[in-house]
Amino acid sequence: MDFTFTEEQQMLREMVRDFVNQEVKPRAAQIDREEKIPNELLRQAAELGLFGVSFPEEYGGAGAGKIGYCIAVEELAHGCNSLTTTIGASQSIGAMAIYLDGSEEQKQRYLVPLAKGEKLGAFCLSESNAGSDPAAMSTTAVKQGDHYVLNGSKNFITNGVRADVLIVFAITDKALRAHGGTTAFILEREYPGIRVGKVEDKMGLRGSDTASLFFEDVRVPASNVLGQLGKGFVTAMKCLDMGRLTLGAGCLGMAKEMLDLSVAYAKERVQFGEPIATKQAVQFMLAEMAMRIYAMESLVYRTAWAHENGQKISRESAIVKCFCTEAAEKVVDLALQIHGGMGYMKELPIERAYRDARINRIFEGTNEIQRLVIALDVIKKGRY
Amino acid sequence: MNILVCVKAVLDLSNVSVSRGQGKIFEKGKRLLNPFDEHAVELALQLRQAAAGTVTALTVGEGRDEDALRKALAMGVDRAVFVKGPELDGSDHGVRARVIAKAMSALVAAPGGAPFELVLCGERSPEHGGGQVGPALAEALGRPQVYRGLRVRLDAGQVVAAVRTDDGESEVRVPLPALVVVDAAANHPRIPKALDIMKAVKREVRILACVELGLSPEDVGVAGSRLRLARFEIPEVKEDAAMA
Amino acid sequence: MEIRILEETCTGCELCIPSCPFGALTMEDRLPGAPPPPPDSVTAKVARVWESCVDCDLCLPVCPPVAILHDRPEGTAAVPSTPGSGILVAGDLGPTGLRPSTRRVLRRARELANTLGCFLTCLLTPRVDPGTACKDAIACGADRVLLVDATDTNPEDGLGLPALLAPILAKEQPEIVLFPDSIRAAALAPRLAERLGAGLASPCHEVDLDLSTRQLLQRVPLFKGLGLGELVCAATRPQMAVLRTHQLPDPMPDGSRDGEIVQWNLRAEI
Repeated sequence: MDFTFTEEQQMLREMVRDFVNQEVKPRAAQIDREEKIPNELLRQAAELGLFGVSFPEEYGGAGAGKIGYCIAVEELAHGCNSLTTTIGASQSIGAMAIYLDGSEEQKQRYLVPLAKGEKLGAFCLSESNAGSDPAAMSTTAVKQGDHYVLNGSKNFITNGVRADVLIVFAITDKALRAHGGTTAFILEREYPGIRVGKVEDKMGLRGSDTASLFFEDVRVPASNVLGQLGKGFVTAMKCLDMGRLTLGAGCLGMAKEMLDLSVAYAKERVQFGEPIATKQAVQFMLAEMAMRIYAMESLVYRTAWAHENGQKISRESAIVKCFCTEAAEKVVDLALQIHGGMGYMKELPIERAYRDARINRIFEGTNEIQRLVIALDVIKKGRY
Repeated sequence: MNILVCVKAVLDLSNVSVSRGQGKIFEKGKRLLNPFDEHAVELALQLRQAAAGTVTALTVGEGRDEDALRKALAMGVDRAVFVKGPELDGSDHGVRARVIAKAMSALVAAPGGAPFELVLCGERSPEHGGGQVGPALAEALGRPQVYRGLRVRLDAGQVVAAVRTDDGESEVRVPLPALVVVDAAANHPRIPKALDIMKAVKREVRILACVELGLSPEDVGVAGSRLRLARFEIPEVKEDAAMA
Repeated sequence: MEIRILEETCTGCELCIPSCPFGALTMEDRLPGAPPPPPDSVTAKVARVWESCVDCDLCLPVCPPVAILHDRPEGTAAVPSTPGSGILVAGDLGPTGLRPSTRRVLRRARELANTLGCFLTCLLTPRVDPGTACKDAIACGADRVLLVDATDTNPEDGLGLPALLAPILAKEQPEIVLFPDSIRAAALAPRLAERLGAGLASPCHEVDLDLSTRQLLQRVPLFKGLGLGELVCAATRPQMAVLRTHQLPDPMPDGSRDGEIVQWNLRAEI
């Protein structure tokens, strides 16, 4: 058992931290206010290889594996959750679907530019009537010669406005639906019939675009079927394992940032003639934060290690997602409390983190669904 | 154009534990490339692009100091040289300068070796702050120096630079071979790419031992240093006093 | 020329050759009738001193068997209390006279000189008429201002000043040389120290004295101020230090102080 990070993992962390400190943090408030990540910032992130950290070099990635990817996400989340989400949605679930189940030709055509950050990806599963219950989806794909024709709509799609490559899940067999009747397709933004619907006005993550997408007789070449016909759900679940793990890593980074800010503030802020860090009430809050961070860190990297070593992490990623999103929310809340009135103001990043954090319990599978997954697993096994 | 960049490894002070009682600093992670030296590496890489040459990064120290070279490799230097040995511990700047000068002769004399027309150093280090190695090395090499170069370019066998002075800036022109101490405002060092980091860890670092350079243990380390650290202590920090 | 080689002691090791700024030392075959090389000789050759020698003494400390002697005429032997031997401040001249950092170093150096009971010299290397700077240096605490004309040195390449000053310092033999924390001094001091074979601490936020050993205690912040180190020059002289000046107090100049102003002329010394 060895929990030390390798030299390249430490260097990767230092690299992303430098990028975040120099380029991201100074722009994070503006990104939130203007609801847009500057193209230049995305280009810089792409240049550094942050869109393909985990993928092998031959597919345009850095070959840093899943642990390396979690490190990168953790560090990015110190600076800006909107940027983390934009990169994460493209990489953890969008490009990941092609990496896991794509053909060699699909990988060369789509994964390489996604991993290099030349193109942005989106993962289109949710629909207005199919959120926690994706089997209720109504988007369909019907075969016509060497093409499939897609019709339907997707809802709350991260990168829905910007993405160049869309992974779209559709029913190909109405009788089987979720049990062998759902297929994943790779769509290019330029395909006729794709339309961006409502762009959401969100509470947090305001720099990350979220939109509904409409598909009207979109003709997709049969060669763009991702994975096996009818096995789309298997692809989706595998991607979401990675998505949940990296969401945990993002929560960890944000929580560490909150603690760092809180400690600095508590040592500086004087009330009753002393820094508030001398007050037990504040010390206890800092302890609560540190305890949760340690638990989150342990969960994230143990699970990343397991995933890297080929272990199945469906239940574990559900635990990571559920625990880390709730722990991070508590940490942000305590950070705001320590900062008092200042924490409520947009002048400091706490207020933004507080808004950003709330979605974590909902997206990437609600925490209620995660609890179901965890519970069903232990019930099925009859033990831990 | 063959360029040598002298780099130093520094402690990552964000990742240490400090024992006041023992007067010791315990490192918990890797060492960092001295941030001031990153400006010298960046300048070397920019000049390489303009003058078609190779960049060699060199450090003097013991085992963990290799981390600084890994960062330089990730930034893009062509090769890394590590003058390594436990006997080097405690070397003052003068010893370091003389060791670098010896290492340069050894590298030039090695098969395929070519003279280093340009040597670059950072302006100082956050640990000791002196920035003495650059000028001391220039003296050991008998070379002209450009001190605190801000905008540095090569022109017909000369280094042409705007340098920082006590009164602002001035323009200097010195012939090659030369040494340039690079000012921290000279450039914005590049952040290495993820892929280059992964590759840098696997690349070769040429190790040179003191004996290969004709240096005996008395020439280096505490024995060879003119300065001796008579005392080291970690003073009480104010905020700790408030927290006590 | 007062430098002499003890031929029976010289081991032919050649270490002295590069120490000479004037190229006045070479290795030659031993002449017939000369003393034979000592048993532990490195080579059979012997060092020879040529007419270009200026008696700067830079070769003396580098000779392992102490085969180089300085034959001083009677009554001129260097003793610690001669004017040049105390503390020397290598000062900076700005466009309007002594720079404030140099003046602060002079104030601190005066205190040290009082403690040691020694002379304080301020070395200035003007390229133009120094004007009132010399009188100012004396008012700030110097007993003596040593003016070295630097007009002929190239100000751009960093080579000229150390070559000009090293023989002067070797002759003056100060115990302590202090520099202000200017950019000019930061470029000069390490080169000069290397040329003299001296130790240099830079930048010291504080210097003090150990009176029993006459050692300069050079306090430096280490690791971004996390630690404090105390450096000493173990065996070499002069003890050289760059002083942080932003927290040092300004001097209270005393225009009534006496001091001498000396124009150094290397050629005239020969």
